[in-house]
Amino acid sequence: CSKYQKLLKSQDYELWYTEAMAYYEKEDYTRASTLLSQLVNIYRGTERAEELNYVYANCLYGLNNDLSAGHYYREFVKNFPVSDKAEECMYMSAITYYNMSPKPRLDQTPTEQAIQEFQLFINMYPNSSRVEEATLLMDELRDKLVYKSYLNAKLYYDLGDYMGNNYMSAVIAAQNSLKDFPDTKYREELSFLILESKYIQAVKSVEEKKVDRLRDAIDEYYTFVNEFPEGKYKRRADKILSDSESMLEGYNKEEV
Amino acid sequence: QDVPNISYSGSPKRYEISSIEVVGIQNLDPKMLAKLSGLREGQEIPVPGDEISQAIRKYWDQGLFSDVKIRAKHIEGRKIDLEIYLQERPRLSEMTFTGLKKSEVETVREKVSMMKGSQVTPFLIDKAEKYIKDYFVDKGFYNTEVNIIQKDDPAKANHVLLEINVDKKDKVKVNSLIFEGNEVLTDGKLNKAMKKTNEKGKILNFFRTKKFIAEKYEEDLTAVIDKYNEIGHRDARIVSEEVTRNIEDNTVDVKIKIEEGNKYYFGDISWVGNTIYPSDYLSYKLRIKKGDVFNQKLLGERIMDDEDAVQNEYMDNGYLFSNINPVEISVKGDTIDLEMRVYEGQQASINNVIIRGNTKTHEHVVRREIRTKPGQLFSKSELIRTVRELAQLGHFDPENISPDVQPNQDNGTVDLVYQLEEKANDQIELSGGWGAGMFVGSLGLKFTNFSIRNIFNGEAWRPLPTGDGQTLALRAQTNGKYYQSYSMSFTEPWLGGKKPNSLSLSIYHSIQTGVSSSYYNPSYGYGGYPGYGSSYPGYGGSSDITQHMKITGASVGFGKRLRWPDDWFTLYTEASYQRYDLLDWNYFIMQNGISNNLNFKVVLSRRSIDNPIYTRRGSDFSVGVEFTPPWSMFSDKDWSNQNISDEERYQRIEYHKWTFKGAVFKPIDTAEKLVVMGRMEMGFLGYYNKYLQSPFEKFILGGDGMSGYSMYGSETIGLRGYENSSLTPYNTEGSYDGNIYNKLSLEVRYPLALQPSATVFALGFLEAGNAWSQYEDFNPFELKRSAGVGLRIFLPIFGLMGIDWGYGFDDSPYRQNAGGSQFHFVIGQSF
Repeated sequence: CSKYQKLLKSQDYELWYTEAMAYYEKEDYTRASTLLSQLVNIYRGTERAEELNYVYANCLYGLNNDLSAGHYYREFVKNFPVSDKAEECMYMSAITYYNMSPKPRLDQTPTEQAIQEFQLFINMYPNSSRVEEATLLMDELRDKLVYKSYLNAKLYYDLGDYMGNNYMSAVIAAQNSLKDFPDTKYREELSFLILESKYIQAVKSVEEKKVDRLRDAIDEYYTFVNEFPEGKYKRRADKILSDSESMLEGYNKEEV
Repeated sequence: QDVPNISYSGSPKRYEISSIEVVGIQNLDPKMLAKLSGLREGQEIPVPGDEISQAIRKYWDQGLFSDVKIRAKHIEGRKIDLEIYLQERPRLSEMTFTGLKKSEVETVREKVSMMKGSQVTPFLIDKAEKYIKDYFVDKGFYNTEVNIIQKDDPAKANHVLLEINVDKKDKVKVNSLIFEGNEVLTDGKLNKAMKKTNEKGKILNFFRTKKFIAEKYEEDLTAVIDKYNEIGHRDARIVSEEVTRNIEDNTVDVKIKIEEGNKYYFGDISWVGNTIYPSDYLSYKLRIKKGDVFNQKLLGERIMDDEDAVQNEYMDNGYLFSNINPVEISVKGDTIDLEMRVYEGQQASINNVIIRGNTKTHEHVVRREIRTKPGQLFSKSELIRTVRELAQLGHFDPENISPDVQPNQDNGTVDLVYQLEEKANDQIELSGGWGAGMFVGSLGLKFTNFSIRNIFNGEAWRPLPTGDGQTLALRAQTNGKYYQSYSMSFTEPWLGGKKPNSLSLSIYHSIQTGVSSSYYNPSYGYGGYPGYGSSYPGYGGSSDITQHMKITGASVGFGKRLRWPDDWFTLYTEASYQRYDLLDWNYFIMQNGISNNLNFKVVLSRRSIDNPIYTRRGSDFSVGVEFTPPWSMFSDKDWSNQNISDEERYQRIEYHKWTFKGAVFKPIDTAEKLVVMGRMEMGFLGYYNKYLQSPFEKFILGGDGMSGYSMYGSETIGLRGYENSSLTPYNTEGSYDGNIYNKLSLEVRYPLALQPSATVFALGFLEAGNAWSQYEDFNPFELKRSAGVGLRIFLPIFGLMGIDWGYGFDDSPYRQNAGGSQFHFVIGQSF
């Protein structure tokens, strides 16, 4: 320990360098990173810069400091684009975002960054052996966004008519979700949610909007059964259709 | 030198790089620098082309070079030899400061932002010098001198040491401030308008800064003109201003010559371009009439900034792109006619509502509170109200909630992004101390963002399952000898997740054993243990376990937000049960037996405050009734019979209790810092049968209002400036018997810090209140008065703490010397 303390007090950067590398080899990332955090600045622009940047990023990653590790991986990619380690660092940069990606119910900014970074990686190194894993991880991340956007629409549906018409919001949120993620695994749920929300909205409407909204719900029914003719919501959808039609009939008679 | 000529006209030619050579450097490694370019031998690049420019940019980004050039040294056929010329700069190895305090060094170091290893250029040194100087001039050190000496570092080649010497000298103060040409406004008024430039040596300026700061002085000159503009002197201008330095006493004399100009009035105001709202209506909303004193600032406020500004009529109805531009069309004498040019634009409906920054709180907890929803028309006031309500949730930093409006004019929609910042919201209270010869300790934990469904999910324990906005509070308290209590409560604000109906559950248990007879002191009446901060009245008594009182209770509450009369209302209902088990408990009316209290409570409240910690505006009212079933009506026993034992008499307690509390907050200065709060509360405890008056559930008035442990179900009401519980009447048996009380307070608050890490405010208060035993004696004008000052500190993890000093002007009929000068400690938020 005292040896390390003494080292810190000395200004012998040459010694710092060899010791830092030794600590790194021994996986003592805490000590290594303390030394490296200074060395990366001191040796900027020298032949050691590339190695130090790479090693420092790995140390931070080893310390589970994804935020800083990611920063240094990206610095590496920016400064040493032709290095043979650039591919690895670019991949690791995405991995750090991936590690920081939280549960779907929380802010997904790191998830979006991870997806973007993996995409960049795949574009840059389409033949890399890491592409397969990157694709897998990207799918996993995208599933989070898909689920989050599904929950968003579902929440408005669940809120019902609390503080205003949430069915309209549910329809828009669900449509946006389908637009953003056309191949979502919640496609059927979202489509039915749109149908059901439109129907409930029509039923709860003021008289002058009722007819239009019922017709809209019926249109929505045909879109729905067209896509999911044998789906699990078929029966409930049929019920919506027959209810809407019989309600419409009542209005049509009045008009006549 | 014979260098090939690159033609920049015509289409670029493609070459293959045959060699890259780096020249001009002294200490750095040429091979590594060549790599840095991103170019490699064998690569095919267009010349001129993007690759070369990018390489140059990369070198500049390194910050190591003062000159970067890439040249084609030789071109042969399709092969090109590149030469990269780089000029190195010396680099910084250390910065030393003289003449500054440690804290200043840190700030300056940050400002200068030169890192070890970065290059040192004359430009950077100049910049640093200017930076430091400006920094201190801003602070009033007008004569600051900065001197930076650059020395070669003997230890390292091409490295330099920077010695930064700062001599701040003394601050420059304002000796005199003279106005000329002002007739309408007095010197005093103008001086007041100048916020940061004030004369020294004047009593009036005692609390104001006397430093002369050029930048603030410029702002103050504008403020003077603004002041004139506000009273109709639209053409007012500063003819000349003169700042004379007095070297000998380091002061300045300021002389300002003003031309006031004429006073103007509003003339006709006409509207053009409005199709949605008629002109009359807009004029009515504008609230400016012909003949009013012309005031540009007021006009701006009425159009745009006020809460009920004219443009908000449009903004609250989806017209996000609307715009009102007042144009002066004619000036006749002293009257200005205005034409209000209205651009209405199209209505924008909300498309996406995006929540960012919730790193702990689950999205649905936030989204369900948001009033701006997809599909609705954009509304500015709903947006503002949402921000206010998100602040109320307590999970986010209220000073840092920023809604971002992202309009999409093409399809008439708008995306709203709520940018939030989580703040630590759990509270821990651990207190222990040695008081009155015994240990007194309590441990309280309050988790305000709990997630109970994740309680069995091991992964969610980091360190606790959070994010669902539920509250879990645990508390244990003991003095080790004769008192222990445990309680637990849980609240789910959105039961079922579809409606904001809250469910609260709580259970508690406390055991109190008797103490030896020296403890008994009738004048204290044993209803009240003075709460926190005072000593316990158990003068070294030893416990006596043959006597005890055990209280066990549980309650279930259900709260509902109402939509009528307006949606600030909530209705809360609760059923609760308490069981008092007494054995030889000679401190109370009843000594032995078991007393049961089953009661129901209904509270209607309306709460519209803007910020729960430092409230600026809004109000908080609640009216409640709590009652037990009228047991005596179901029995035909004659309770007036004196021979009925207390045990039987109080087996089932019966009462009805009414409470009212109301508080109103209002900012009284334009910066909305100084806030005045008026508060009123009253309570009444009634009975169904004269002979069955509840010995429990009394009101105890006086002191800090902290109910350390509330015995006998009593409610502690603070009244500062008096000793704890000193204003409470007694019954014939020596127990507290407050059956009716009222209280008024007026508080003025001023914030000293409004950071999320700490909110601090000072307050001054006037208070008055009293408690009565008998309804016949009640007299709302016979109040005990007090006044005082205090300080509150809110720290996220400890909650609200404070200290008040109050002076009670009146005597308490129940306790000698209970008024006068009193200090009170306050923990937690009271009402």
